[in-house]
Amino acid sequence: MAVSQQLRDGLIGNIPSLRAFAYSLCGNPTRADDLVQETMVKAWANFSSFQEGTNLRAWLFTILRNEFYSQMRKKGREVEDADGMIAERQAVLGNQESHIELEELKQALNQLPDDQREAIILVGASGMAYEEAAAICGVAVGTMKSRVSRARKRLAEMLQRDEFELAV
Amino acid sequence: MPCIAGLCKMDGGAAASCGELMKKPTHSSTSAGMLPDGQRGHGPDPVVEEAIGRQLRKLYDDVASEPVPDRFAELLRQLEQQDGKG
Repeated sequence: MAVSQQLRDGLIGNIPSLRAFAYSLCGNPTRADDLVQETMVKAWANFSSFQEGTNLRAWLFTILRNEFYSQMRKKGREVEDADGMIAERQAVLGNQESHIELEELKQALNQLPDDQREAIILVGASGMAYEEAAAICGVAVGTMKSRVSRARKRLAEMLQRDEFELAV
Repeated sequence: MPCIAGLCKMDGGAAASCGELMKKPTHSSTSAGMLPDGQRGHGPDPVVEEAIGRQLRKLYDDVASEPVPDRFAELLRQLEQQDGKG
C-alpha cells in the first residue's frame, strides 16, 4: 500500500523529535539514530494500521519506545553506556561548566528506573502533556504524573548530593 | 487550648503557627501533600529543580534543533522505492 503524502511529510517532520527522544533515552548519538531508523522502517511498514487524523507523534514515539526496550532486552544497556559515558566524561573535562552539568544529568537519568526515566524525558524534557506521555507509555494519566514527580525528586536528590560532594 | 495535631511540641515557631492551622476547617488540608514544594521541610530545593528542568530541556532541544542527517533522506528514498516495486 502506498504511503500518503501527508503521512510521509508527518514522518519527516517528526524526525527531529524522534532523534531527541531517542538520544535522551539511550544517551548515545549513534545508537539514537539507529533507533530512529528502525522506527521509521517499522512505521512505514505499519502505516496501514495508523488511523489518519490521530496523533502521529505519539504513534511514532510509541514505536521508538518499544524498539528501545526490545533492543535493551536483547543487548543490554549497562555495559555499552558505561563505556560511552567514560569516554564522554573525559572529553568534557576542562570544558564549560554547563557541559559538565549536562553530563551529570545524563548519568543521573541513567540511574533512574526505566519507567521514571521515560516519564521525565517525555514530560520534563520534550514538554509533552501528561495525557500524551501516558498514552505513549500505555499507563493512566495519574500514573504518569506520579512517575514524573518521583523522577524529579530522585534527580534532585542525586544532583544535589553531587553538588555537595563537589563543594567539599 | 491543647493542639490535637501535636505540632505545638515542636518549638515556639511551630506553636505560633499552630494557631493558624487550628483556624482551618480540617487538619488534613495542611498535610505535606497540599503544600507547594518550597514550604515542605524535606522537598527538593526549588533552585536545583529549576536547574534540572532547564538541563532536561537543553538535552532534548539541542538534538531536536540539529539539522536532520542525510541518512534519513536516503532511508526515505529507499522506503519509497520499495513501495514502488511492491
